[in-house]
Amino acid sequence: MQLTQKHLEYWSKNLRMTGFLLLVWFVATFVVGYFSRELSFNFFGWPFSFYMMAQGSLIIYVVIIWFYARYMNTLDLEYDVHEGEED
Amino acid sequence: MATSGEGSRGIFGATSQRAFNAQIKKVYKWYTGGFLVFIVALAILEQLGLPRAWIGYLFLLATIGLYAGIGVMSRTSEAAEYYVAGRRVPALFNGMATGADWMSAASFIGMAGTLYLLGFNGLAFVTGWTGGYCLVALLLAPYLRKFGQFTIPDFLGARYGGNIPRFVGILAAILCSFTYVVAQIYGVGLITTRLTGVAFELGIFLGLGGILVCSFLGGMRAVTWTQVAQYIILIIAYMIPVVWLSVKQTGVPLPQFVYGKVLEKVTAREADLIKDPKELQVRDIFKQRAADASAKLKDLDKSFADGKAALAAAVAKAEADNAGADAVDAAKKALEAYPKDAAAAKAAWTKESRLAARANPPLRHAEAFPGKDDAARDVSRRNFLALVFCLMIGTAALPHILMRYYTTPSVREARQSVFWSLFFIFLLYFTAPALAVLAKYDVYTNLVGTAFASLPQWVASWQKVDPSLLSIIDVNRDGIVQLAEISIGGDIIVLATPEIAGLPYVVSGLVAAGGLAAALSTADGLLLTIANALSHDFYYKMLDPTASTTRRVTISKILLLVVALAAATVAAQKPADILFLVSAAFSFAAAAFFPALVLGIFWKRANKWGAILGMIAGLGITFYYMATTQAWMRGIFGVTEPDRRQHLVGHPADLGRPVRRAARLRGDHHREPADAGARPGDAGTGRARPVSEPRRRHGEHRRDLTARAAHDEEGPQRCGPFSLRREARRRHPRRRARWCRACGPASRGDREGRAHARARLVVPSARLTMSADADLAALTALSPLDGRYAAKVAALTGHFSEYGLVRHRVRVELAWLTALADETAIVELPPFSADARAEIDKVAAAFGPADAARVKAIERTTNHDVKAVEYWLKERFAGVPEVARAAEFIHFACTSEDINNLAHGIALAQARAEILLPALHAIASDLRALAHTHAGTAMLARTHGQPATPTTLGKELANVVARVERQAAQIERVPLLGKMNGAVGNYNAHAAAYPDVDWERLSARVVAGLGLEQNPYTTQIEPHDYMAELFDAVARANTILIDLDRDVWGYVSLGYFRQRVKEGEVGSSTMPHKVNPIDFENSEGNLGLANALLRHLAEKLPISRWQRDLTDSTVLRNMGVALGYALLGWVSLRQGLAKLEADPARIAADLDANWEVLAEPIQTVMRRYGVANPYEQLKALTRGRTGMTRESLHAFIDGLALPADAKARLKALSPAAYTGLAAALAKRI
Repeated sequence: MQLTQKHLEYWSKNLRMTGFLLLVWFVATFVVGYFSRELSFNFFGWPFSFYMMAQGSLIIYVVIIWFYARYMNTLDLEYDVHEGEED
Repeated sequence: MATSGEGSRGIFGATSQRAFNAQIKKVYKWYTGGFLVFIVALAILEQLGLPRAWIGYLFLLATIGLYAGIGVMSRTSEAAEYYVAGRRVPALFNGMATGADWMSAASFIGMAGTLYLLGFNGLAFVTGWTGGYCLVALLLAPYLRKFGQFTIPDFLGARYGGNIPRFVGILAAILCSFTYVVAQIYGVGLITTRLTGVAFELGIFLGLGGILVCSFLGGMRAVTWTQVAQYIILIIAYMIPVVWLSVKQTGVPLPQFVYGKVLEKVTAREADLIKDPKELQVRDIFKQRAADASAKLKDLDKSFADGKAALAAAVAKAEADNAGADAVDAAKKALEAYPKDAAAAKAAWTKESRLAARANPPLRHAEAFPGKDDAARDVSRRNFLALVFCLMIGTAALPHILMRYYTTPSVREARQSVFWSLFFIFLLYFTAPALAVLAKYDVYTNLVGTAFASLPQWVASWQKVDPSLLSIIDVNRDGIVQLAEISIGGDIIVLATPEIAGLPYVVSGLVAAGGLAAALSTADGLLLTIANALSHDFYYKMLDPTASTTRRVTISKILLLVVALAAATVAAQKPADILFLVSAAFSFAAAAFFPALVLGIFWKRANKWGAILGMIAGLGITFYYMATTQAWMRGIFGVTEPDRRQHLVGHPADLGRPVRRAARLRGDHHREPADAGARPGDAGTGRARPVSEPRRRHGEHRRDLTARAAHDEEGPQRCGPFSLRREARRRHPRRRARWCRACGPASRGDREGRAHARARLVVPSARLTMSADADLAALTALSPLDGRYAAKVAALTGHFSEYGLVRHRVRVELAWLTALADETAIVELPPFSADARAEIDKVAAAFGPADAARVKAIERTTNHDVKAVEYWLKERFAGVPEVARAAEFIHFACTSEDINNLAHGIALAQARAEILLPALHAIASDLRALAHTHAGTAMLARTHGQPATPTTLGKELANVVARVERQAAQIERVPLLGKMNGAVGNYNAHAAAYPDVDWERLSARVVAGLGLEQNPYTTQIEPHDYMAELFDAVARANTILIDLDRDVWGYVSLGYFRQRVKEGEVGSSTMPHKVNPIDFENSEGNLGLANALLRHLAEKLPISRWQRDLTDSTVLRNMGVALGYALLGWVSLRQGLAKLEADPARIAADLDANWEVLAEPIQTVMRRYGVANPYEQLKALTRGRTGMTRESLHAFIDGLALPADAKARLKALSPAAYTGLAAALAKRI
């Protein structure tokens, strides 16, 4: 298996995206969670932090996973490498 | 839904993936529609007066019957179907199944109640249990799917090498799944009881029946499709009442989007209730009663005596005062109600003292981290975040959930599948907070303030069903309900919502059925995880790697029964703290699996011992923490001192607690010690990393060897040139998930695993020592069989390598020695004792590469390889006096060729039986499966490369199946011969030494004992004619397979086959239309090499000048090479076959473009009816014309003088329909 620059690029892109999405995940959950008392301004009827913990973070999670699946599946196509290299 | 059954595989066994997806979608659409119709029908029947009990029974029967039906239709005993549902569950449906698998009775029934009781702090469950899926999606699912095995311990076993990580994984999987399944079965029992009114124990076993019919017959396949059905039921059941309640309160049917306004109203109402004088009054009463009880408890005996005396005095006084019969009776009743003894009094007062909890003001639902001061709030916050973290990690590590991602067809689908999983879970979790708020609003506004005389109907009925779920007592006797007077259990929120919303009873039945679906689906998944851990990981991978697929699946089924019964038995005991077990399952999973899995994927230096110790440490610390903080376990483990830990809010266990501790409505968040909440400790252990290995700059090479050795324990054959892959990984971390690529893509893993396993049996564990140099050997090997492809042909090395030859020689020498000893006429060599015989057998059986190396060392001095074996045996038995005395009889009267020909015979016999024939049969069975799948796929035949009478794709493959099997039978029929008759085949030396021994018979016995037939007429050598026969037969099989390789290549080129690609891998195409027949090309090339060698061997071997020349010895060393190329070609062929996916549209298009192929049937029918010059007429029509169409052909038919029915028959023909008996022939193969 010849490891090309392309492979490394693919993997580092994957890692970068994973890291970024984990950061979003962390912020939406733990940072917002930590400042829940402070972030209790009214948000369409809900206190913002209540909304985030009950609904908002869930939406963010779903979007994170959807986006990751889409991104990676596109990346797979983009970095298409010949199947026969490791027969 | 049981309509479109297709052959024996039923609705879950359709042909191509696309057709399968379409079919499944159709089936579930009908199913959902049917279920809704069923509900509506029941609702109408209810209006017509159907009794409630009947509705309950109908729901129970209909849903369990439905699950059973799916279970029966999905029955299977194929390993891939049984363990991973054939790996073709589309992402959407796998998502639904995972949703059902994931959401237990606790989520369905308990979640909204917990939110009702805990307010903001309860949201930790919502966030934690959904956020965990981000970790699954980003860190686990795609990588596990790429690895493509069956279970989580599989991953641990292969990633870290050796059986210990696998074993720890098995233990942890069983530990968390079993604790979890007990809770689910308990829930099943509760719901069944509630739905039908049968006894709890009976309810458990009824539910158990429901679980077993799903999973028993069809394993993962049945469970998956039942879970999809269960998800649909549970989500409908959850949504209907909430939507209805929302319409009732807000006028909008989307509660998730509008309950913010309701929350504002609830918050306003809370503010009122907190300072409402009547509420304060009730709370004061509770406070007083609790204080009184506490005071009494302080001096139990005295207060008990005083209280009793006071009551007795009151009775006496009433009687003395002539206060009237009523007053006397009342006083007497009070005395009777008084606790009988001090112990009873203690229990009663302790209970009373807990009323203090109800003296607290109501919780502010929307307030984050409530507490009396900043310090308390800070603790509350930390506990909240820790609980979220623990739940997330636990979610991402539950084996029964992760296992599900093995069932998707590809990595790509695995990623999408996580999305769908979370989406379907999200639907429920997104709704639960809304339900809690809506229910709270109803209670706060409609129930509070109502007169006791006019309580709603549902309150009365639920008070009767179970006072711990709901009880309202007029504490301050004002005739009006105060909030503080209501004691409510969390479970009631979901269960009573239909009634609160004023829906018909049928919806209550539906909700119970939904709860049942949630509990059953989770229990199914869990039971299967346990049974698989035991049957697949423990039995098959560790105890008996030769077990056949059928046997393993059978064992799994039996284990499933046993585990289910065990779990039901435990659940029937109503263990004191069943919901504690649920949380334990999460904590165990988080601590044991998460670090080992994630680091195994992302950290190349994570190693075996690190993982083992990490998992054990995680489990141990979790266990220790539980043992020291849970009252229930503290009792068992004798921890007596009070727990001074900070008690934390919320815990998975609390999901069910409200049922029992109904008094906590007030939102007191200071728990009794027994309620220790989330455990940051668990989360902490989640980081128990395998970091034991220090960075060793100079130890690079040694570490490689360690890794290699650890790997080899699993069997070096499994993964082949490990170091190369390792090297690749070092440069490119992405590669890491592929190190088992050599073991083949997922679908082949199982079958090949067996071949590997066989090889492992043949090659003793001492191979370990040999592998140290293997890293380098693979790189510098001259032959690709020993380098690049070593893993694929490793099974043969045990027979045809130098080591294999020496090993077999040892066996022959020892067989000869024992046979001589058994011969009574040889008086100088008495028969061996049982001990000596055992020792001899041991040497033969345990002969390993290290021994072979020693033989080679001896050879360097003797310069004779067979003699070296003799010397080695003498050396080896030096310590066994009985054998040592017989040393001169080793190799007695033998010529080297006596030993060699038998050793070669053994190698061929074993390789034929264990490797070659199974590999050929595997090809035949793969082809047969394809033939069956595509039996009816009509295809244009191409004689001379030109369009010809159609056939079916399956029939073409069936032809090859028949050919391959015929050749396999030929190979099997070749007799394998051997001789043991001295220097020129005449027993010269033998007869000289012992004239009276019947040497021919003795020799025949030895040869037969080695599994060969005696050849009585030989020169010095066995003439090898049988080898020529065998090699010719193998070569013929290869020729047929080359034919197949080229045909498939051609079909691929025509676009008839697409190649199913393994998406997500570097080095693989993900473009579905992209076709790459590389496997078939590889196969063709290797089979060509094999045949070149095999044919030369077959031509060369029978020739040996006069009584012997050495040419045979020279070429025989390459037997393994010849067979190795053959095996390699076969492996590649299967690899290619596994990726094939027919493109029916493309195939059909070709047929449709060639209507002229119908000339043949038309001509035949014309002949039948005596039409003149049929051939010429048709020739005129078809020859040279392009674009013959249906229309032109029909016009031609219309112009013929044929009976009307014959015309109609002809016009009904199309190229696709003109396939004769092809489909039937293909199916029959």
